[in-house]
Amino acid sequence: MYIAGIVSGLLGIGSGALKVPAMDLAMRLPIKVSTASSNFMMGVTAAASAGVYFARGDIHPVIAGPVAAGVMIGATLGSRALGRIQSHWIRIAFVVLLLIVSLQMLMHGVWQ
Amino acid sequence: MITGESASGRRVQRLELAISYLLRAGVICSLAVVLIGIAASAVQHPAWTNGTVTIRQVLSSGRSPFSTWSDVVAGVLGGNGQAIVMFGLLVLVGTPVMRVALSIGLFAYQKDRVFVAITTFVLVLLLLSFVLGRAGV
Repeated sequence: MYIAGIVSGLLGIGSGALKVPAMDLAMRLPIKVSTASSNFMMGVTAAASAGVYFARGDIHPVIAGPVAAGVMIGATLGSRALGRIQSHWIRIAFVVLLLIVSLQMLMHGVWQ
Repeated sequence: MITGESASGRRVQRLELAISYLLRAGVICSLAVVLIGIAASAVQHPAWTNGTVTIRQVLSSGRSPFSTWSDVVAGVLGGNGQAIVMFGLLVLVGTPVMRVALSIGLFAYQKDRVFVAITTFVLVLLLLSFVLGRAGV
């Protein structure tokens, strides 16, 4: 979890990809509890990072505005859906997402 | 959290519900302000929406024009669309901070000293990161 926090601040990712498996596999929490808790943790840790980025003038409203608006709308819809979908499908969706994100990162890193 | 059927259990449930409504209100406020700011920016900078300017050109100055509260407040009072977006984003950042602060009250009401201590620690760290964020700028 400590590593997740460092990675999050350094790379700007939410590191939910690190926290959810940690909670699901190591702590054996229900997957819905894991994803919701991870989401909440990200909110708090992101607030800390955002304060630093803001003070350093790294937040450009041209980009941050539309991104934030889109994420807020999407996250509301997503968390509503969380209550209605079976845990089985959520795990599958998460694995697929992890695969896509890892491949994308690999491609960006290697084939710049 | 699992609460019992007792009167204080229901009270705690209502308090948690109140906190969640406040959080949602905060997000909705932020979303509204950000959307207003985007609309205002589109009006004030027509070059951004009709394809004559690219994102790269807009960001070429490097540092964002808003990095302190006084910048943002001055911009909002002057009707600057970008400042309004920035204000909405600051409201959004404040939402989880508020949630942590309110949780301290909730845990104190439940006389749960361990979590009051943990949550206070989290709040102090959050506020510290805002203050120390300027270091070296």
